[in-house]
Amino acid sequence: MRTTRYFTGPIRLVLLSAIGLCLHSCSLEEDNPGGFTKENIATSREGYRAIVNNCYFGLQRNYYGTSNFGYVTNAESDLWTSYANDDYRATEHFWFYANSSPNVTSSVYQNLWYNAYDGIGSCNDAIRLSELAVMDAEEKSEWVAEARFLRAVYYYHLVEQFNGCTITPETLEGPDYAPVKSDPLTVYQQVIIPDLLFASENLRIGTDEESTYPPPPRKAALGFLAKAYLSMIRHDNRNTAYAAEALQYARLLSEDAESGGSRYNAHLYEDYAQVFDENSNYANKEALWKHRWYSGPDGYGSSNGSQNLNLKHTYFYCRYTNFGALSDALQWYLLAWGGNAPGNFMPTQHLMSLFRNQDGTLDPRFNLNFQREWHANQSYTWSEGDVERHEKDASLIGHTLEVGDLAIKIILPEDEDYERERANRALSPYLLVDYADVYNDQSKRIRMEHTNTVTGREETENFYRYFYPSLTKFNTTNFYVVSESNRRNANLDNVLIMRMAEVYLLAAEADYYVNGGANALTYLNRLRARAGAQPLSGTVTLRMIMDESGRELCGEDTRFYDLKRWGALEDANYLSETHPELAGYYQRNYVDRPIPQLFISSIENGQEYQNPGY
Amino acid sequence: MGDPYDADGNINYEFLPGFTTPLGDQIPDQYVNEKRMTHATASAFVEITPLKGLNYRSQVSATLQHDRHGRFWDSQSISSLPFYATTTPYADVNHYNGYRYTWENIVNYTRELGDHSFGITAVSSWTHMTEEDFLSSAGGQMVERWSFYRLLSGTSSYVDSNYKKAQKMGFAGRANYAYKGKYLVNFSGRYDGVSWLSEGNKWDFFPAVALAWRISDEPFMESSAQWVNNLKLRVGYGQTGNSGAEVDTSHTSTSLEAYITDSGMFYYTTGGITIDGQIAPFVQYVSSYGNPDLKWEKSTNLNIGLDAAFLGNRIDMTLDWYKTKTKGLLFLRATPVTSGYTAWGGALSTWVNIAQTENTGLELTLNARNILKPRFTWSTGLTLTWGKEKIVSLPNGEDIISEKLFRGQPIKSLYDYKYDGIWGTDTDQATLDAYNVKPGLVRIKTNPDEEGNEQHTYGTGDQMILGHSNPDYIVGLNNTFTYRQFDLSVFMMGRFGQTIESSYLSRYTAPSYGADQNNQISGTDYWTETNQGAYFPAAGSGNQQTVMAALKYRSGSFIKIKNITLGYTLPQNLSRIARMERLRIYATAYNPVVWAMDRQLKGTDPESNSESYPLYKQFVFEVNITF
Repeated sequence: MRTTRYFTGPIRLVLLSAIGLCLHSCSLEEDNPGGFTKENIATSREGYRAIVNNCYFGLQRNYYGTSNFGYVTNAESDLWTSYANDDYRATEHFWFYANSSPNVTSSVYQNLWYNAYDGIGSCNDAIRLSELAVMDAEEKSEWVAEARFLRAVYYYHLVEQFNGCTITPETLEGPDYAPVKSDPLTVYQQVIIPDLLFASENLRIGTDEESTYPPPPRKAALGFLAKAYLSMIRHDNRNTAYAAEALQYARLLSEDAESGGSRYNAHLYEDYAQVFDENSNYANKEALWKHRWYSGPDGYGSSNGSQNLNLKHTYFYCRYTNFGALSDALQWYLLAWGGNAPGNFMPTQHLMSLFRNQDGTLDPRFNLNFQREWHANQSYTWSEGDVERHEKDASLIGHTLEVGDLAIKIILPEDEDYERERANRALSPYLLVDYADVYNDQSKRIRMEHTNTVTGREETENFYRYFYPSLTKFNTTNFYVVSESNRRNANLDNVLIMRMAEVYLLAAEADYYVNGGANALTYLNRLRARAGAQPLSGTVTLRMIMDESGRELCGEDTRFYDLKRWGALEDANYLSETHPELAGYYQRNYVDRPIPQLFISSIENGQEYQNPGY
Repeated sequence: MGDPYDADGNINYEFLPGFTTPLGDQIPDQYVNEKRMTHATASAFVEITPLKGLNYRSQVSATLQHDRHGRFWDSQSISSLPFYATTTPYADVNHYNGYRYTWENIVNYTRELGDHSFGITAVSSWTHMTEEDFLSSAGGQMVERWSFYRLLSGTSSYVDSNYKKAQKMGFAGRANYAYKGKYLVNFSGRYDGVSWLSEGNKWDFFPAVALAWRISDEPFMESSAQWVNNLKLRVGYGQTGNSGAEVDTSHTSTSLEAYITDSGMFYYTTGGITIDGQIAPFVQYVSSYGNPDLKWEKSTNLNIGLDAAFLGNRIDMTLDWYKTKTKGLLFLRATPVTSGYTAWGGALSTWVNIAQTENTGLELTLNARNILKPRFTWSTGLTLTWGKEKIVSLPNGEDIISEKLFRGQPIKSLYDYKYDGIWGTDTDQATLDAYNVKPGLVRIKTNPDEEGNEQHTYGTGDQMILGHSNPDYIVGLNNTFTYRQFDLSVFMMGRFGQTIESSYLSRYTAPSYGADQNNQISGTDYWTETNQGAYFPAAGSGNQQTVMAALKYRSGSFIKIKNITLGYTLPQNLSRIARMERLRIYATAYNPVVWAMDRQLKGTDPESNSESYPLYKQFVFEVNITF
């Protein structure tokens, strides 16, 4: 054919290769139609809300109400010791490591650190991407305020736990392998206070039924502002100028509470019993900020973990199971009020002394907040060993306690029937625990040894120290049963993150710095009056405020930070007076937590970054 | 105790009040997990020779894969549900389609002019990979038998789909020249690109040059031609590149994959956040944080090799020496959490070109037919590899401890406390106090602390480099014997110089209280006052110690006999009677013997390093008939 003359030899070669190469001109551009980046998602309102929701992740995994948060905020203080006061238990949490090496790989502090930065990173993204979201401007600014409020909360915890952290003010361009550690005052000035101020102006006022969504109510930001300003004092060489700001914000809330809550919906319950009543928990008016989880098969975690939500009811109960009439393995008992399983916290002698007035009466909040009697939940027959150990008369051997009978009773010298019960000890069919058996008021310690009055033996172990008044603030019957057979029950109650009573105490503290405490008594006595306690009088000292705070807020995840704020943990003096056994293990370096080793080894300046003493 | 089966032989679901059976998946109709895979490969080529010596070939191939993966869980099943399943019964179906197309064009021209011969080759290649996934699921099926075949009946449905595409292109050219078949020269260059790196980093160029000299063809070698049959010297120098693995059609992603430079997210509707007592959807990063600066990893390799054969090809050997320098090693590095790139409360990792490494080594292969008699033969094969790797430089010149990257060490270094024995009762009290230890606790080597003291409480500053997990030498030896109709082959191999983290030794935690108290079984060599030379620390001391991790780092060197085969072949005149061309009976023992060189690891297999699955030996008996 004629065409072959034109397509011979080299021409054919060139043509074929040209075709081959042209068809290869498909580019290597990446095509990602299902592409899922934060920028894509942020354009829609639902998508942007999901981004803002992620800011709560760290908080809900590791903070308020979760398993270890109670330890890092309540323990190593003057109010609580480890159960039965054994100083080999949970030394990392209760005993400043009790003379052994601190564990820098502890998962507790690792989770606090990592989850806080998870939150900070998410908040930074939410703030940055807000301009992409197409939605109503006012609602958008509320959501941005929400992200900024959460960011401030995360930084607050980092600073108060670790005494310094890296400020990541916005989403970074790329990872920073040599981050700078800022001192606490800088963190407060650059991030915490500005974020809280923005939140206090842009969050919604909110209603009582709403806890975490829509955004935290404005009163939460105001309360945190008061607390943050007071916390800055010790970071700035005890410069009390910040107290004036704190007083201003605390008073905004306290005055609103006194005048009916029209401005910020602030409220202080008149009836103290309502504060922790589970019936008023859902729409608790006194809480500035509260959070409750959802539990169900589609909730957080697998079915094995979805009872690990609000765990505050698992901390404070004594080891009642040490007495055979009580078991913690009965599902019906766990679901009933007061059926809390035994926990790891025990009140110190100091905490007990706060409630025992000089005039031989008890502060009403003691009996309202502590359980001292337990009734048998299984049938139990007094054995010879138990009769001897608990100083009973031999006639009680073989006596059976039926379900519902009084099994344990703890008596205090202030009780009316104290003398009568003591006299009748050997014959009463229930385990009688005398305050004096457990606590030693002279040495301010828990008695580890006991002399048995029946046998006369001086035993090395005091069996009574497993039984002590147990905090009932977080008791509930509001559970979702995750697994009946495994007795896993999820607590559906709100965690009250901060409440009005604390704001009154902050106002008293701020007034002490600003006015020398001239008006502080008003605030303290307001709290005492509504609880039914006698008013205080005289000049207000910081110690009075500290004590009142102990009475009002014990167990509410704030004591460790409060002691730091008051300067009570700068040296061992305060602990020597109130919790001498802990003072023996006190080391200034251990008051600030170790930066987790996993993080230290991932940065280039790890050695310098770590806190002293670790 | 309850009974797993009831009187009729059916599985007993609640064998004791409050306890349900672990055999839940075996109860009929309770659990289904079925994957059906269809795989088709087709290829075609066109090859033409338009001119003499010029060859053009164009080849196209396509691989198509379709998987259908259906699963069903009912209330008695024990297998864990996916995160989107909110109830049982639950069913899901995932359809996967993978397409992979390759197109290559090869042009080859060779020419001979007397003693000279030339060749030129040009190649272009293009690969395209697409994957699509479609997931539909629902719960609450009314009828168990419907399994995943009737999703319409369900409630709480969850659907999602996914798309992934990646492409590669490459152009290569090579020119070679030979003179008298004795002197050979070769130049080549490759220009490769991949779609998953960012703009500006997608393409890179890799040249290479190689020279060879067939010494045995030289005139001065003619006198030794009797005993030197082949001798060839090779030198090569060139660059190769690594862009990470690609998306492949069996959809098991390995290292880098499509969209790696974006920071991908995932939208979770359940299982994470609660807002106001209700579950709330949230968005998290998944996988890694995207690094737009990611580039090709380039290795420059110098290789000198010698091929030789002696004594009528009775012995042949290959010896290679190489030195490779790699720049921009691809590495998945954890970001510091303070930068805010996190997922599920942990810091994300990001792909970076992190280090410059250098790898030097020697490889030898030797085959010898030792004895070649009519009735008895013996031949041996030996392979020997020696390699040494080290990191030459790291960004900012700092060692990266969290990723175990240290300058001067190989990449898989081990970094932890170094075991130095157990504190004995003969130590003086002052020393014990200085270290804050008691007799019976683990002793480790320490680094001087800030004041220069060696004697201080153990802390993370005492961790040091303990070795590397890649071996220094690998030796393989194969011996084959035949005697008349019998044959026997023994294959041994050994690896030396690696340090392993023994999961078996890490089990000894010596707790003083708690569930694991039975950890200190008799027969374990633990320290007591009468047994002070023991390896493990005192019983019950685990809770007082922070350096127990030092116990598990041991030398992982070992020698194994990997298989022994003994066979018998029926003589052909006999097998032909039964119309069989060949009948062979043989027995093979796999992994019959392991010698772990380290005393503490006797009886374990350092190669698999698992305490759950000990080395398993197999004895196989086979018959092989050819008709």
